[in-house]
Amino acid sequence: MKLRLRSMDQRGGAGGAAETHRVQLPDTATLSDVKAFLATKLSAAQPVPAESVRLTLNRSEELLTPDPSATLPALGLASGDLLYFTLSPLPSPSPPPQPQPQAQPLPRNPNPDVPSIAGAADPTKSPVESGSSSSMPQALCTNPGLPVASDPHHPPPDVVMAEAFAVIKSKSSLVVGATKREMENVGGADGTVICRLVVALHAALLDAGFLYANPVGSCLQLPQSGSFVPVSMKYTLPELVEALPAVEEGMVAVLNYSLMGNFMMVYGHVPGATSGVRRLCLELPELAPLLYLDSDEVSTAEEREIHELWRVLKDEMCLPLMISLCQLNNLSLPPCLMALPGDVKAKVLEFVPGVDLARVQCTCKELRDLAADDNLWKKKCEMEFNTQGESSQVGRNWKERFGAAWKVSNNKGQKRPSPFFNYGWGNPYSPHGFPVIGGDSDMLPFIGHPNLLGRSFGNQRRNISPSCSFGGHHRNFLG
Amino acid sequence: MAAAAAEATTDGGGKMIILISADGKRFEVTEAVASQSQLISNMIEDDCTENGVRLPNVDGDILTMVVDYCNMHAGDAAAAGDTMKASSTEEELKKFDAELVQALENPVLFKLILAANFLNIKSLLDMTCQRVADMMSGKTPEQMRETFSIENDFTPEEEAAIRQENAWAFDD
Repeated sequence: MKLRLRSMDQRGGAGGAAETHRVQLPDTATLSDVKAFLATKLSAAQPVPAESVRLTLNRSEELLTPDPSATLPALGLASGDLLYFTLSPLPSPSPPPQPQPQAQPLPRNPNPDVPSIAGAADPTKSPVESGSSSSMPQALCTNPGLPVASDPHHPPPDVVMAEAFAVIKSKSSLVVGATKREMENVGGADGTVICRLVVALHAALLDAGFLYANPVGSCLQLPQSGSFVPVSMKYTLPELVEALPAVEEGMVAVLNYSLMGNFMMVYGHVPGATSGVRRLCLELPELAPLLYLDSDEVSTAEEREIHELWRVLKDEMCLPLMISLCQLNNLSLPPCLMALPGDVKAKVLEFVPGVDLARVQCTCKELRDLAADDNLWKKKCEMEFNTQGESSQVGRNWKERFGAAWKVSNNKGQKRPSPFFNYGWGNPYSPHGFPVIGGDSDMLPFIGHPNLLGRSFGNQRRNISPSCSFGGHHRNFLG
Repeated sequence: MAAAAAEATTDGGGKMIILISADGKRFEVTEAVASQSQLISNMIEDDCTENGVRLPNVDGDILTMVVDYCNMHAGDAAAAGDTMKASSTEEELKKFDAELVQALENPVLFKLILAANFLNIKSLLDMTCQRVADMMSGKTPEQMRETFSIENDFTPEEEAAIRQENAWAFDD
C-alpha cells in the first residue's frame, strides 16, 4: 500500500509548503514500520528516535494501536491515505460537553473526538455542520507547542481535501454519537442490538426533522430486557403537532418493528396517505458490530458502513415518510427530486440514458411531459446511436427513431451499456454485501401487525416486482 | 471553509470575497475560487461584492461543501495563479468528487443541486445531476416512484397510453 506522510509542524504558508513523503509499504507493515521510515527520513538533518514520531489521521488524535503487530490495513488505513506526523505531542482534547449531567458516560470512550461529539449533542444540527472545517484550526490552536504558520483561511489544496474528507469522516462519528446519546436517553447504554438499531433509526428520524409523538414530548421507551416484542412508534412534524392527539390520521408516520429470525423488519407508513408501506429489512448479526462502535475507534471501512447504514435509514425511510406527510398536508416538500424546479429536473433528464428516459415518462405527468421534449430525444439518438439526421427517417420524431434503433440493437443482441446490469436493485455504489434489504424488495407475508393489514398495505402490492424471493440478490443495496 | 472571517483582506494580491450563508455563516474565499460560480462572477464584474455576498437560500452546511468543492477545483479556473493548487492531481480531484457525491444522502444531494443551480456552478450541477440520473438508471417506473417518492398522478388510461407509447423500453 502507498501512504502519504506530511508534517503537521510546517503546514501551509507561502514559502513553507509542507513536504510530503510518499512511501510504499507491504500490506503486512505496522505502525512502527511507518515511524521507522519517517525517523530515517527525518534523521538526515538531526537524529530522530522512532518513538518520538507521532502519527495522526485527523491532526487532533494520535493514531495508536494497543496491538503493536496490527497491520496498517487492520487499523483501517487504505492505500493512498494521507497521514500527518509530528514530533510534538498532540493536543489532548477536553471532555465533551455533557447535555445531560446525570447520564453515565459510556465505558469505551476514553478519548472523545471533541468536534464531532459536540456536533452529535445537537440532533437538530445537520451532520455536515458538525464537521465544519473551522474546527481544524481550533484544534490546532489549542496546542501552544504547535507552530501554526499558515493562515488558516488559505490552506493549500491538499489540506482542503483532507479537511473535506474530515467532514465526511466526522459524519459517521456523528452517527455513532447520535445513537449513543439516544441510548443514554433511553437509559440502556448496553442495550441489545435490536434496541440500538431502533435507536439509530430514531436518531435518523429526529435528524431528518421528525418529532417523536408517542405521545408528543415523551422520550423513547424501549423494552429493557427479555425477548423483543413488536413495537410501534409514531413520529410527526413540528408543523403538525398542534393537531395531535385529537386527529392522528394523516398527521403521523408510524414505524413498526418486528423480528424475524436474524432480521429486524421495519415498516413505516403514513396512515391516510396513498403512498405505500416502506420497508427495511436489517440483518442484525451483520449490523451488530457497527452499532457498538465508538466514534474514536472507527476504521475507514467501518466509517463507510456506518455512513451507508445512515444513508439507507435516511433515504429509504425518513425522507419518503416525510415526503408522504408533507404531500398529505400540503406542506412544502423537503429537498427531493419532485421539489426541484422544472429546469433542473430537465437538466437531470439530460443525463438519463434513453431507455431509462422512456421509463421515467411512465412515472407521473410532470416527468412524462418534461421527457417528451424532442430535442432531448435527438440528443439521446446522437449520443447512443450516433444517428445524424438521416433523410429516410424524415417525418418520424426523434423519440420514435430512438425506440426503433433501440429495438434493432436489442434484437441484434448488442445491448447498450445496459441499465439492466443492475436491474432495479438500487445503488451501484453501495459496498457489496451491505446487510440491508429495503424498499419493496422484501416480499415476506406480513406477520404480527394487524394494523398494517389495512388498505394501504394492500394497495402498494402493485408496486411489487415479479419473482421476488427473500434474501438472495434482491437486497436493495447490492450492486 | 474558513468561517467567521471578520473582514475581507488581501492575500498575496488575490482579492478575497466573503460569502454569507442563509444562517449567517461567513466563508472567505479568493476571487478565483468564488468566480467558479457564474452568479458571483457576474457580481464581481459589477463590483458589488464589497460587503460580502449574501446567499439567502444556501445553508451553511451546504455552502461548506460548495466552498470545499470550489477550492478543490480552483486549479482549473485559476490556472497559473497559484502553484500549490496545481499540486492536487487530477486523480485526487476525481477521488474527491466521487467521494463527495456518492456519500451524500438524498436530502443533502438535492440541496446541493439547488445550491449549484442557484450559484450557477456548471460542473457541480452536472456532477450532482449525473448522480440523480444514475439513481434512476435501470429502474422500472414503479421503482423510480419508490426511490424518489413520485406520486402516480396518471389516470389508468393515461398510464396505459404512455406505457404503450414506450413499450419498447420494457422489452427485456
